[in-house]
Amino acid sequence: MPSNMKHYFATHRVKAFFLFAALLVSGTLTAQTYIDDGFLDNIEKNAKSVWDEPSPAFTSNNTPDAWKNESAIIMGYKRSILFDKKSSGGFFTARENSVYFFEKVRFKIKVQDKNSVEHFSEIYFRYGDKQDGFNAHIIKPGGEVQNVDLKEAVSVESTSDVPEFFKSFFDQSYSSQRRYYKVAVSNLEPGDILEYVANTKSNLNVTGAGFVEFTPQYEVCSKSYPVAYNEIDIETDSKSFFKSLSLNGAPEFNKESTDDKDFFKYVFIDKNREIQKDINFINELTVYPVVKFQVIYANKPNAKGVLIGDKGELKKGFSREELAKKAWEDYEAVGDYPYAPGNAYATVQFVINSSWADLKKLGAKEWPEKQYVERAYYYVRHLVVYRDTYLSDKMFAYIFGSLLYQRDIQSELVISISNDIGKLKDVLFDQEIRYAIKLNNQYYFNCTDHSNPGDMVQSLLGNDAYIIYKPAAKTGAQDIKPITLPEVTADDNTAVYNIEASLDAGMNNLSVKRKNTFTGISKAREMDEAMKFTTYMLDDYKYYGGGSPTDNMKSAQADEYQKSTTALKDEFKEAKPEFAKQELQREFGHNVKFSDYKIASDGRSVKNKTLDFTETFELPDITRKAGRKYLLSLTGLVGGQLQIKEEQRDRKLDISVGYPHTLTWNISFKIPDGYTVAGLTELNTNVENEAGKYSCEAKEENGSVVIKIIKCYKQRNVPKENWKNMLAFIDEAYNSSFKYILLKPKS
Amino acid sequence: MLKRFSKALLLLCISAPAFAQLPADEQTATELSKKYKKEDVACLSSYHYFTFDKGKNALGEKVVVIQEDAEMEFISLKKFATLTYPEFYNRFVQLKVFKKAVKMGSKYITSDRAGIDHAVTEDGVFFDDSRVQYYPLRFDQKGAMQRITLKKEYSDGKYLTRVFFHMPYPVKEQAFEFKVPEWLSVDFKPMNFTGYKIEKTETKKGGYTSYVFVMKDLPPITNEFKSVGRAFRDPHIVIQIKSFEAKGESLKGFDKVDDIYNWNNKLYMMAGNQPDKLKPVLAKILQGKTTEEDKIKAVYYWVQDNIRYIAYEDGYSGYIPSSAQDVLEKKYGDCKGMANLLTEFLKLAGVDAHFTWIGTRSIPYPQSLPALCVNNHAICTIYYKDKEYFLDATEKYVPFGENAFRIQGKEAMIAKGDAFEIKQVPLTTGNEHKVQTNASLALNNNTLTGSVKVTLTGNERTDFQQEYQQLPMTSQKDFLNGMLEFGNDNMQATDIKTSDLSNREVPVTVEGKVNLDNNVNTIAGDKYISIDFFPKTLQRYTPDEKRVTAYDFDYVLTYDDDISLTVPNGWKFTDIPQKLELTSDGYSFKGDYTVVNNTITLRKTLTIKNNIINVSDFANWKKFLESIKEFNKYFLTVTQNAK
Repeated sequence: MPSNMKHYFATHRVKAFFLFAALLVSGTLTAQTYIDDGFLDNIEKNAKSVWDEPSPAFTSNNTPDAWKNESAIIMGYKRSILFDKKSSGGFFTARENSVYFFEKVRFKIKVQDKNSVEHFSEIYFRYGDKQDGFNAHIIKPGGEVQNVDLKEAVSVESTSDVPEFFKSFFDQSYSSQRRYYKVAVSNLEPGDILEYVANTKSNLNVTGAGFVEFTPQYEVCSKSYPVAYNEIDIETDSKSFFKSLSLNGAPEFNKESTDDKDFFKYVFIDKNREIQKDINFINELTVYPVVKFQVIYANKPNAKGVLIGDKGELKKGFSREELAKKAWEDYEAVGDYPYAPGNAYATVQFVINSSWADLKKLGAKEWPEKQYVERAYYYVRHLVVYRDTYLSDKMFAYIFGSLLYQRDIQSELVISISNDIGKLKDVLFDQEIRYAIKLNNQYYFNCTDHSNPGDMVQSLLGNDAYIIYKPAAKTGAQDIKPITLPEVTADDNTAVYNIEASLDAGMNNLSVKRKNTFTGISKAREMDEAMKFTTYMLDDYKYYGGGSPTDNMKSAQADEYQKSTTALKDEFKEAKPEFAKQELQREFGHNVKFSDYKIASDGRSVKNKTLDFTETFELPDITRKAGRKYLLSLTGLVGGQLQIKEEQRDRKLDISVGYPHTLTWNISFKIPDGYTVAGLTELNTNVENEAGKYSCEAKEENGSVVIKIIKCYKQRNVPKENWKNMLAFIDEAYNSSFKYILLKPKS
Repeated sequence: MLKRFSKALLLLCISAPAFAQLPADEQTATELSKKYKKEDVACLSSYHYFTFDKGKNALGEKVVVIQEDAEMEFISLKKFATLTYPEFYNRFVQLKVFKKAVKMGSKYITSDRAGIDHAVTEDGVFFDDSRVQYYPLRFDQKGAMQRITLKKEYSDGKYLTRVFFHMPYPVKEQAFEFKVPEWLSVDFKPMNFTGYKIEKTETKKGGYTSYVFVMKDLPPITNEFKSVGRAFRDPHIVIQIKSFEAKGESLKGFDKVDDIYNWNNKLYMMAGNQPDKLKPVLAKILQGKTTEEDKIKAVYYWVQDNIRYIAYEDGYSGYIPSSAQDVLEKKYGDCKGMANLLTEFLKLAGVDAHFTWIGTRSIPYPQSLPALCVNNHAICTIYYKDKEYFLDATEKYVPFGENAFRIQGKEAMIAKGDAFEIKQVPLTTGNEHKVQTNASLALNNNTLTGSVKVTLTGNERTDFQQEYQQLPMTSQKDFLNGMLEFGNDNMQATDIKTSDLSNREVPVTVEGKVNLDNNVNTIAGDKYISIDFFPKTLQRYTPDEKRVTAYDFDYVLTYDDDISLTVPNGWKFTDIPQKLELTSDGYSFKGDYTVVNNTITLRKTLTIKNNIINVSDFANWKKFLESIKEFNKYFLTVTQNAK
């Protein structure tokens, strides 16, 4: 409970410093001026038209009995957005340069406990235009309606603080910093219904714009509370286009007639939606009912480069020809993009040209093709290392493909879709199209700071794809070759932990030297942490055969560079042990005394793709006592294992493991002098099925306990019917992590 | 997509050499960096100069206006370093000038850029006027220097209550100078100066007396886990404007505690209560209540349950309570508003009730110190059957007669019209706040089954209620299960029963059946079992060698465990752990295993009697924790009799 009285400035002067630091991190800065009295005159009046609209779904104040034990029930949620370039309301000027958005929202929730009362104690609304309207009321259980007074509303500093159910669709789509206010709701109690309507107008200047794609929307039907009624109405004039695709059983948008032949209306209605309960191994967009939709403004019905249907068409998907055409057009345009956000002077083509010039200076024309391809990839990776952001797939493919083209190496362009989203047939937005380069039988996916040519990407494993070619100049005909992207196996993605452990003389603390080896996607997932606070970036130029940055520097500049790198090394030298210690403590849920961290192979080259590093540390107070005997959990050295709780054992949704992979622990524990060991046979187990495996083999060998543990996720996707297979080896791994061995004194 | 590690790379991209710093600056940086190895930036000098003038506050009263001129010079101790310098302000403390300057050669060049401005409303406060301006100070050379200058105006001297010497960064020299005119009587009360070398000089010149406080070589403030508040330990000065003359008239500041009371009471009276508007609701609350105690409870609990904590604290709203009728109508308020409503309700009900100011335990000062920094909270005090009761409506589910630990032992300033009374909120011991666990388990193959009952009293019961009642209904069952599962993922509780959780006055009991897997290790025919489920070794409170501040637990309590395990006939317990008994002034532990036939019982009691563990007690405290840890390490050995 915070202390509640006014903060005396000086009292909290230094405390406030820490608070401030925390706020900078958390970004929860709020408020702070009262709403202008002048606004209040309009805002409720402007909202009246929304209240007046017939909305049968909002009429009843009754809620289903089945939800009586839910924290809250969303009784109704209706959003209507009109996209209007022309003068539908008759009040725009003839030379209007903006697209206007008229958004109406009606939201009705029954708060059934103190928790939801607390959540809805503050409500938010937008007032950025004199035509904006907002009004809220609560309905008491007896039917009495009490208006929510807005006169004590205060402004909110950041739109990001506005909760989901109060933010304008336009603000979510365009992340604009609109003026929002919040107000405390008087007299709200469990059992009350809170209802609000909002009416906002936004505009976007589209002068000179061929088209504007509004942010694609993924409306997941299930929310944090059960939803009785959810409606989204999209109405567009003839300048805007609409597309939508419903997946996993979600209702579809339907086209409805309008009074004006130049306007088109699309309506989505979802009813009686429960909250989702499955939490492990979930890929939301491929299993939850979801409807995708997007509005695109285009100044011509056949705007080039826009993935849209025809005027007034409710487009629900795209043929492979449409996709391929769009992908190729987008790909070809990349050269003119700015290379870095906000820098219009250096285009991608400029960077390609200078990269090719650099490579030529290094003798790239003479390198064998295989070497050139690798070095070109590493050149692009080097660019990425020194960028703030990763390249998009499309930009990577364009740069890498162009560098190959400079050497007359003919590569192929591949398009696909992330398997977190679905299959190619599910592509609705051009942002969903993923790009890669294929050369001979090798795929080159977008690079990270640490990837090598040919490294697989988890999100594209085994998905369907097209190789697409330049359309014919005259006919526009385009060759498209359907393919399937490569899969990987659990043997390709491995994590091997070789552990040497021994107890101290006091039989209390366990010294551990752990050599960690990672390959494939397991390595890719480990790299950021492994390489954090290392100076991998300083000699990254070597991978593409480049020279040191100091080669072309004058003496003073080189000195400055050396000073900078020395300072960086010093900083990282201090930071790395602490970081490694924190990671280990998180892994074991136990205090760790950290000693050393050494990277034998960073896995950043084609010659050595394996990440290999060793950590030396101590786990204090790890043993348990039983008289003069000691108990030690060596299987606990695998770290925390996933537990599937009782309520999660009845599976409703298909299982997404992400990628097949294998984890192996080879543990060698030196039996302390004067002790014998027991309990090894009790450790042995082997559970294996088509979904995965857990095995443990323990034996005594040359004065040591030797344990080999394997946990393997064999399949990337597992149907819900086979959840029992997953449970079998996951449970065994979990249960095994609690087993002890016994150390008995010899005398 | 934003990459995760780009800072280092950005630094390396700086190709143009920075303006060379003077060799002397680099030398200074080198010396400081040896002393403060973990720090990136130090402050070479921090000078705050306070001058006093006369003015009027927003209420039209004659007051002392204070101007603060400050200059801080920062030096980088590393090649690449950053520091964010914030300056806080609000409606009463205005930031008139705030500038950053960068040293180029031997000169400072002032930046044209204004500080970045933000609201800094704390979580839990709906709206206030607290703001900050800050400058990110970025250095790219060791020895590089930057300077902050500022001018602030305290529109009413009451709001300059204290200044601290230590900062979040090392400071080579910290100086506070107060230039006091003859018409002003002000006192500078040294707090926690003992053990610190702080020079104080006093110089009279031209009708002014200058008081200068200087402290050198200050390490940065340590921000340690569960640290005792810095007002308890760090040196600081409380500024007390006692009186001043204006046009021959002598005007009161805060000279005596009466002056503080009069100020507080004046603002309290501005609430504008209209008791008549409370009567209809009060009548409903009191329906069927005949005794005075029943009436008190009915009102107290109604306010706890029906008024949400929502705080508007901008300007004088931070000091003047909302009117009782306003709080009632809105069903929300801050502590002052709730205390005001509660007081008015009780007065109308015929109870001897009074609005009361109090400082929580985070504040070290007694009410005898006449300064605004003494109180930060408001409650209601009633006199009932010759005894004071302190009612805090912000503490949900606290029963009448009990007090939250955060106000225990603190002096309360009780409003009584023109007069006031100071009374201490009673302090309780750990024995009154108990978590009692009784478990009866049986070994059934390799599973432990049985029943568990947890009983909570005192603040432990109130804490439970506050957490449980605020949960979504859908999460309450899991929460109750968790109470019996001891945080052990392998324990599963079923058939949960509770005491009447709608009654905040009775102890909370949660009981049910449990089933525990993965807790029995069978090795070579013997079984090894732990029944010490609540180790409570307080490992997080083990001080390492670097710890410099005392711990403040923020609570006192007792854990009382009685866990029995019955094994099947034909099995017996061997290697019974030794009993352990430890007693100290602030904490104690007792643990003992006893065997009767084929049942073993662990009785364990851990009491935290004092919420503070002082640095001087760390060695004893660590030994205490080590001993408990050793006791908790034991597994019971269960063997077959035939062996």
